[in-house]
Amino acid sequence: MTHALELDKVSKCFGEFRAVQEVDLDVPLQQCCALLGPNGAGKTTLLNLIGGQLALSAGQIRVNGHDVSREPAGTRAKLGVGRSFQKTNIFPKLTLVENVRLGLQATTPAANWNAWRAIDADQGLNAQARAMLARVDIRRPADTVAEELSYGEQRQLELAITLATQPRIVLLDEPTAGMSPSETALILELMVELLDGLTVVIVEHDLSVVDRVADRIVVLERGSIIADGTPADVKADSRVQRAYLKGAAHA
Amino acid sequence: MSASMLTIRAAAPPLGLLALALALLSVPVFSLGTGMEYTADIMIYSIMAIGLYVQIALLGLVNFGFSAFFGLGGYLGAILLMRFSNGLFTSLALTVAGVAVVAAAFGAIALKTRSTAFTMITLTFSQLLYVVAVADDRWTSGVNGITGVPRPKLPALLGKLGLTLETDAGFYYLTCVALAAVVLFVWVLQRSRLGSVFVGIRENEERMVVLGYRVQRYKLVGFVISAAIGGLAGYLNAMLFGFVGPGALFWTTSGEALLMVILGGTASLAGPVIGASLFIGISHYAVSITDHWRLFVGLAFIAVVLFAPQGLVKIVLDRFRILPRRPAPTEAIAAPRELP
Repeated sequence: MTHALELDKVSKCFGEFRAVQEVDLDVPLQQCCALLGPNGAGKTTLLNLIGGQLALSAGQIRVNGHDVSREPAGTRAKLGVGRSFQKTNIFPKLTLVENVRLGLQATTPAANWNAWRAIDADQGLNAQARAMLARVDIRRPADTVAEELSYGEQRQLELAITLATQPRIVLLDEPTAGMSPSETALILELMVELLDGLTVVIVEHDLSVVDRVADRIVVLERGSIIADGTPADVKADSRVQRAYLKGAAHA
Repeated sequence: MSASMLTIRAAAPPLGLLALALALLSVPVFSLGTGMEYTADIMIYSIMAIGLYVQIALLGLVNFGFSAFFGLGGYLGAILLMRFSNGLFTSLALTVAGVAVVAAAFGAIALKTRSTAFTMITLTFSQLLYVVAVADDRWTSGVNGITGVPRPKLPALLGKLGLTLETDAGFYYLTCVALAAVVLFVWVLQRSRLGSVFVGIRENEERMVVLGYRVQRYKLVGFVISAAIGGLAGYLNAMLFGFVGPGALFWTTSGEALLMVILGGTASLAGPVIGASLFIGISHYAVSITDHWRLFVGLAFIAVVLFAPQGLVKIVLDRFRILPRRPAPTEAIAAPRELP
């Protein structure tokens, strides 16, 4: 089986504290893999190691067969790794179309050195940006400043920026955190539609979201994998119930 | 809003530019001596302020050592004209290229830092050049600076047409052309793809990295462009007064450039031009009243910070509801943003 993402004995230490410990994880092409676990289990740290936001302490990460263990986030992005963050990470002072354009422009680095042609006159680029805004169901004028959007719309915009880079692997960190039920339902529909065919690693606490999107669940506890399998198998695992599900039920 | 009001608003910028161009071009006709020199001085400092504007407004880099490029441009231009070539294009091209090379080397180091550290390292670099200029006697004439800097010569073909830079009017028109070229260049740049990447870096550098942009490379290019514009201003300044001294490299010159940008604001390219005009205007008239002319500049600065923290141009833009294409990074001047 071809793997889009391969983690081999990946570890991350902060001083004496081992946040991630010798994690082995292979994610096949087009699989949606959810990372679950209690707070402090190392889920976001693992996502940051994959995305290049944190440096590895030990181990190896391969993206589409390329060893990216020592490569910065930009190199991983070029290999097709797209990322959204737990805290909305957009360009709040720029307009919607400018936000998405920056995602699109990232795919054509040579053209970005053009210092003479007005970008507003690039009809193809602007049409693509508007189309992407429509795909994530943002129904606002394209020249709206991003900080004027509601929280849910900002998450939609972040998804649009991420998808505009045409990623093959998408890392999503709690995409529905802080959303109302209606906003969650909308972003969930969008994820199901727009992430189809992509390899996805998602950190998510909402089990209804995980049930809907994930092909596989990996449960972390204290930086180590304690369960790995289909959603049904993992939910039935007694260690998982002890470590996470009961805790979540009591929370 | 009425249609006529819209028409007025649409026509205002081109008409304003036309009026400004006519006013500038007519200065040598109606003004003699110091009036022309004074206006040329404003235009040269406007070029310097536009150079710094590129770093602040487009990239969010608060450089407190911009005098390094202004002074270096002056010294390189003077040395080239006095010792190697008196041709305008040769000396100008070599000066700008020389400043760009030095800026690239310096920027490669300085841009590894951010916010306050960046501001301080740029200040350190400019002071380093100042010390070198003061200590050297052979090339920079130490504390006395280089005097008797000649005006460059135009190519023979232009000379046959009767054009010369020997006269004050001829040099004045060269300054007009330089300012127009710099304004046009930066105006085009900030509307381009490259300009949009610069603004993306200014707004959210971390996100740009995650999107796959080679942020350091873009920042270095913007830094070098900005420095080259500052070098051009320094070159013209040395030609205007026939003199360049270590004061051009001193930190107070960096402070003045920063003041000009803050006074006018970064909401529009007009900001640094208006800021430079105000600064030179206030200092020019205050000098005739008191030796403590900086007091007036300081008062103007306090007034702008209190009543127009985004600069004077923003007030006009808001008053006539002419919105800038992009938000001004005024907070970058007041408090450089720490990235997470």
